[in-house]
Amino acid sequence: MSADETNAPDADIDRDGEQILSVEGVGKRFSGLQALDDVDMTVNRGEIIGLIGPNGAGKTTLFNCISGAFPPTSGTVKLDGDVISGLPAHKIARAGLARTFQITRPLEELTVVENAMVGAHIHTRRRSEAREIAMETLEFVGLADKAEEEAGELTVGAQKRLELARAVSTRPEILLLDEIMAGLTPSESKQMLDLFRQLRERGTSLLIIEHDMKAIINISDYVKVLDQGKGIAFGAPETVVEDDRVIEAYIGGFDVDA
Amino acid sequence: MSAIETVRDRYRTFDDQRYAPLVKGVALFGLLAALPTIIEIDVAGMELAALLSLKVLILTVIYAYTAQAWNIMSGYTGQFSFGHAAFFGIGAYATQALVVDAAVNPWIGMLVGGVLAGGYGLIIGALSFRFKLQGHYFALATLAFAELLRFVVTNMSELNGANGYFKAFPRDYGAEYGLVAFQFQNDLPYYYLIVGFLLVVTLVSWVIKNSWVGLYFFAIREDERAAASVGVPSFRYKLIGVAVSAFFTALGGAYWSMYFNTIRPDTVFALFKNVELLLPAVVGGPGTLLGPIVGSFIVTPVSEIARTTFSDINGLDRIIYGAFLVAIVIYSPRGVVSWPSQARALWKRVRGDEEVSE
Amino acid sequence: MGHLVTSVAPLPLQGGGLGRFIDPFVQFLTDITNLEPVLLQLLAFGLLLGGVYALTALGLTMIFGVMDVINFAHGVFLVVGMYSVWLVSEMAGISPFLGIPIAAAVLFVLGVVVHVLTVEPIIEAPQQNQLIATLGVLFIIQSAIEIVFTPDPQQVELSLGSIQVGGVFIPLGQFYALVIALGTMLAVRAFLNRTDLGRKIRGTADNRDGARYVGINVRRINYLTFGIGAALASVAGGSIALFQRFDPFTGETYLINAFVIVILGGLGSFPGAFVGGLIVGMIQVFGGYYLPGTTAQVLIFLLFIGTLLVKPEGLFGGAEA
Repeated sequence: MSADETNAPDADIDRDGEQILSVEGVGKRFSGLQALDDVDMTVNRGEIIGLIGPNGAGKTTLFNCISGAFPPTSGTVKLDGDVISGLPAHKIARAGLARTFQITRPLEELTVVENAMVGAHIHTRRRSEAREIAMETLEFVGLADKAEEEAGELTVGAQKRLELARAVSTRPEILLLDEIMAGLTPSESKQMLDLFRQLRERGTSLLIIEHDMKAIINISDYVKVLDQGKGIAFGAPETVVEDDRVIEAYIGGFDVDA
Repeated sequence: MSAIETVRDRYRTFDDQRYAPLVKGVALFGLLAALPTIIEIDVAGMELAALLSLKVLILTVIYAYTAQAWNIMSGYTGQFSFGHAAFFGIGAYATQALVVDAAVNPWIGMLVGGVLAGGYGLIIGALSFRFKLQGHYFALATLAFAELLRFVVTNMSELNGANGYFKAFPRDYGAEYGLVAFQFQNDLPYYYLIVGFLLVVTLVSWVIKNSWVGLYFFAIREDERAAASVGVPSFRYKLIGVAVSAFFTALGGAYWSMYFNTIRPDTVFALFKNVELLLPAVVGGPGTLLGPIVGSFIVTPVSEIARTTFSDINGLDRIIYGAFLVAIVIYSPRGVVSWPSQARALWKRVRGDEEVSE
Repeated sequence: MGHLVTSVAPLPLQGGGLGRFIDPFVQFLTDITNLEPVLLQLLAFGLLLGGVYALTALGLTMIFGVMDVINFAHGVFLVVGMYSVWLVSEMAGISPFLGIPIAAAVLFVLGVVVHVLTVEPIIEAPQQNQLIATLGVLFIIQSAIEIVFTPDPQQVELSLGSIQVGGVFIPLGQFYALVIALGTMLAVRAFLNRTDLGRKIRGTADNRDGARYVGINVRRINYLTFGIGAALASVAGGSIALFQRFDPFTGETYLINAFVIVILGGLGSFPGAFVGGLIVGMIQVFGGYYLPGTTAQVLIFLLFIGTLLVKPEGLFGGAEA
């Protein structure tokens, strides 16, 4: 297995399962700044893919392009073979792709269960059914006992789990998680990783942005590395972190940050 | 267990029951229906009616009704409208123009007004939301759309310009005083009619709040992007909110035009009307079902009583209005109806501290 | 031909039909091709009115630029300025021209007080809360004026007469108002560009968090800006009082037009306020002459809505403090 790949991902990697998400030549320009440049990647059913790269590499921008927060300037995104790039966010969510936000966005004046119900209403207009789905996911993330509390009152750790619960309530085929473990205690992080594995067992694919390298290596089947808006590597986690270009990108990245 | 706690626990058990909203609603509207009688009860040689006339009650319920309608858009979806006078005025003008100029029954005029206002709301909403107006910009845009209508109507000879309309007699449109004519010879039936209006808009609000629509509305209010990320079509639902709100506001304008004798652009489209239409909801508690009603029963009688009691001091009622506005947004932006729960939280904290110190 | 639109009662309404929309424009174009002298006169009136309008919007745009607050009390600050100048000249017999700086001082204090009492506590709250609070202030001050001075119109006794320049008639009251407006705008510009405080205000307008970071006392900048904004409103009001009657409600019209100007020019932009003021002044003067009734105001609102939708940052958005 080689990690030298740039823009032809998994060309010589054998991966199981059908393709869920495919990002093809995606680019994004913000008034003169090329935030993403010709990025390719795929996610198969049941895979956990880590998306890493130094700060400003374009990870969250890629999430935004995939989830429809804004359309990519070039390239296409396909979900289950259908083009979703250019669709508004709510349609992409309904097509089976859910996401969380780096800075949690709880619906503050709603209760915890109502937050999850908003996602669940994709599947039903009946409130009681949405409530059932929502309670299931709250049970799953361990927030069931806080169901009637106001979402704005939760601790950081609980807000992160609520963020996950709201997305999971849409019963997505693929989940995009943007630094959902940032700010969690070590034990909370461990619980979160368990949740990821359980989600995978249910057949949900995960695309994860995370700063904690250990966690990424631990949980991901494959890792995609972005640097300055370009895909610079793809492969198994252990191989990728030893790739010279990745190391260079990270060192360079830290220099820029400092 | 103290007596108070027993009562409280009983109330909590009651509150969890499915029939609780029904019981509360019946109690509230029963009280409203009884108010005209209550104000005439002689207490120690004083009738409440001396202060609180049936006319003031009608005005109070009108503003409770319009605030409830405003609330559907601005309280629930969070799109703060400063231009509901546009819808109110459309309702009033559509009704009067059809009644006076074409001898159409006012009920039909009212529905036409509602539909027109809904359409105007859709235009305002579609433009503003498509161009992503938010915060100040959205509030100013709604105000501009209302002021625009005021000047358009003022300059339209077809709608009698600045002179407006004088209400027709029932016989002019082939009806007799009564419900069908939307005109009565005394105030009591007018009162029950507007209470009926309030009941309808409150029921609609309740149904919205207790369905997915309401949840979507609130999700949009709290965080539109987060809502969209889990499948809420925010553009469409914001439009639904505007249209429903505009429709019911117009019915309020229609009622207004059938209760008072005249309408003019400077009354139904007035700059100040925009404030009157939203204030009860803001004072009572935006986004709540009870807030607009409670708010109107605080704001309207107080300013009306101020106006009539100190009739030689012109403007005192507006000072009271102003003081309400400032005080409520600074000290209690969630409105008066949030006070009981806040008091409870405070009580809990005080008691909690005691337990710790013990 | 007086002060045109603002004081002219609606004309008798004309008949219906499309003609009423088309005829005025045909008339306008005919006048242009014939080089009618009236055009020059209208242009002069438009400039006189527009300059003063620009000043009415200046304080509003400054407060918005610095603290992101739409001040609904701005119009009534204007009215307080009018009454202050009137009081000073009527009661104390001081020249109304001297009354204007006095009014500015009074309003600066009032502005700071209003800010500390109503805006500061909710500066971080949702935008509609500040809107409601300043609206409350509007009602309180407006009605207080009504109670103290009655709703009747007042007038500063000043017979300045008029001059004629090349056949163009220029009322001196309006001319002095324009001079004051231009002078004030230049002074404010110099203040913002040249003084330490002015630069801090601009810095805060550019970037609030950044300003905090470099040690600017943003709280102090806020209330000073609010005070200055109110003082500017009173200078505008005072200069309007030189040539026009006023009552407690005069502020409403000016407030609405000031919103239009601020949005047209771009919230927070000085040159924008000037150009926006000219545009609104010209539309009112030319519209008042060619169009029936108050139709000109309809045009202004359409322009307003169009700007909000298509270019909410305005013509000069974000260009300057």
